[in-house]
Amino acid sequence: MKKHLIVLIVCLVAGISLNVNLKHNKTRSNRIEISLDNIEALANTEDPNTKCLYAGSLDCPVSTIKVQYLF
Amino acid sequence: MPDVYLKYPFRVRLNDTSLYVMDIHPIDYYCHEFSYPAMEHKRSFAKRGEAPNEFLDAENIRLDHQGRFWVLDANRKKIVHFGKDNTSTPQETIMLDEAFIRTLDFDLLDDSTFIVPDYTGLHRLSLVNLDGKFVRNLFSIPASSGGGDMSDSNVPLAQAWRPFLRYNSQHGIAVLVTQLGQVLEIYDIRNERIVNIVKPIGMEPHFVTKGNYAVPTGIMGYSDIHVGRAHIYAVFWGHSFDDIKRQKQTKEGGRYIHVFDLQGNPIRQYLLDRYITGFHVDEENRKIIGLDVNADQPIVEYTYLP
Repeated sequence: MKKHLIVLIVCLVAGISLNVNLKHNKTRSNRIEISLDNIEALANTEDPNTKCLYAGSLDCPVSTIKVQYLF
Repeated sequence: MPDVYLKYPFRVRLNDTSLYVMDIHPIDYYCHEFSYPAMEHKRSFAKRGEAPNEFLDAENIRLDHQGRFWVLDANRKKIVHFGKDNTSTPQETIMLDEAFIRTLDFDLLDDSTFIVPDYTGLHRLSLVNLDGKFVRNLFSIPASSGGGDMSDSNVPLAQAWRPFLRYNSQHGIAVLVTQLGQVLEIYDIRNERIVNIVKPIGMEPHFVTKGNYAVPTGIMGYSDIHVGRAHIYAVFWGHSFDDIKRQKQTKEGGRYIHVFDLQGNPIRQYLLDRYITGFHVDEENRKIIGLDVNADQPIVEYTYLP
């Protein structure tokens, strides 16, 4: 009986851990997607003084990608 | 609803039973054709890529009187047309004159001439023939002095005054709206005269110059324009760059449609329940098809009162 209880507790802990891990990965995936947009715009910036960020409809003067804003 | 992923649809045109949508941040293709109103995907074209027949950009799409479909790629300096039946291969490619600095938009003046604005800043519009060669320049940027930090070059001024264009061949009126301010420019192309510059006080594009670039500091203004039989329609955002940077404004697009008569007198303003980037106005059926990039269902349709 005691042995079964230990196995049950181990399974519960493993299940909770797996669930948390999956949620974390999903959040991370969204972050990566957003980050890639930033990197895409920044990577094409030739002038270090001008930054173009996020996908948008503005012409970035230092890249060929349209962006949300520049500064 | 089409089963095609549209990341940032920016232009939409309706021609009989075909709806064309242009996406400015596509995965594979810049342009898509759907049946209308069933919205079934028919074809995708203007493939993104660096091969000779591929595209590095799409600024706008136009349909001519023969139903031919035209696309402007500013990065490759070309205007391309596709036939009705051809699935992906361009039928004609017009390479634009090297004198232009990034052709920003285009419309068809007649069967042999395009109207284009660009970033040279020396003039407001240029006429281009079917060989892509410059024909003549028209007008100049209607900026008051002190609209921003001025440099020796006109390029930053042209960047700050980046326009979107529409021409109506029925009455010969071309209208430009500024993306970075609230300015509407009405030109009579046939008689080469300025009809009106609608410029509320303080609403010219605001910018600072960094090197040879303009950095906008004011607002996101207009993003699309339609010139109808008797009215002008323009999508207006009104988002300040301060709010965008601080993420107080996270929606892309405008909720306002400003309506003017052909002399530039304001007639009415529509307030939408969505933020749209581009639109198609069907005056005959009093219908507006808009593009909402913030929604999973990006194509929205409104009916409006006369």
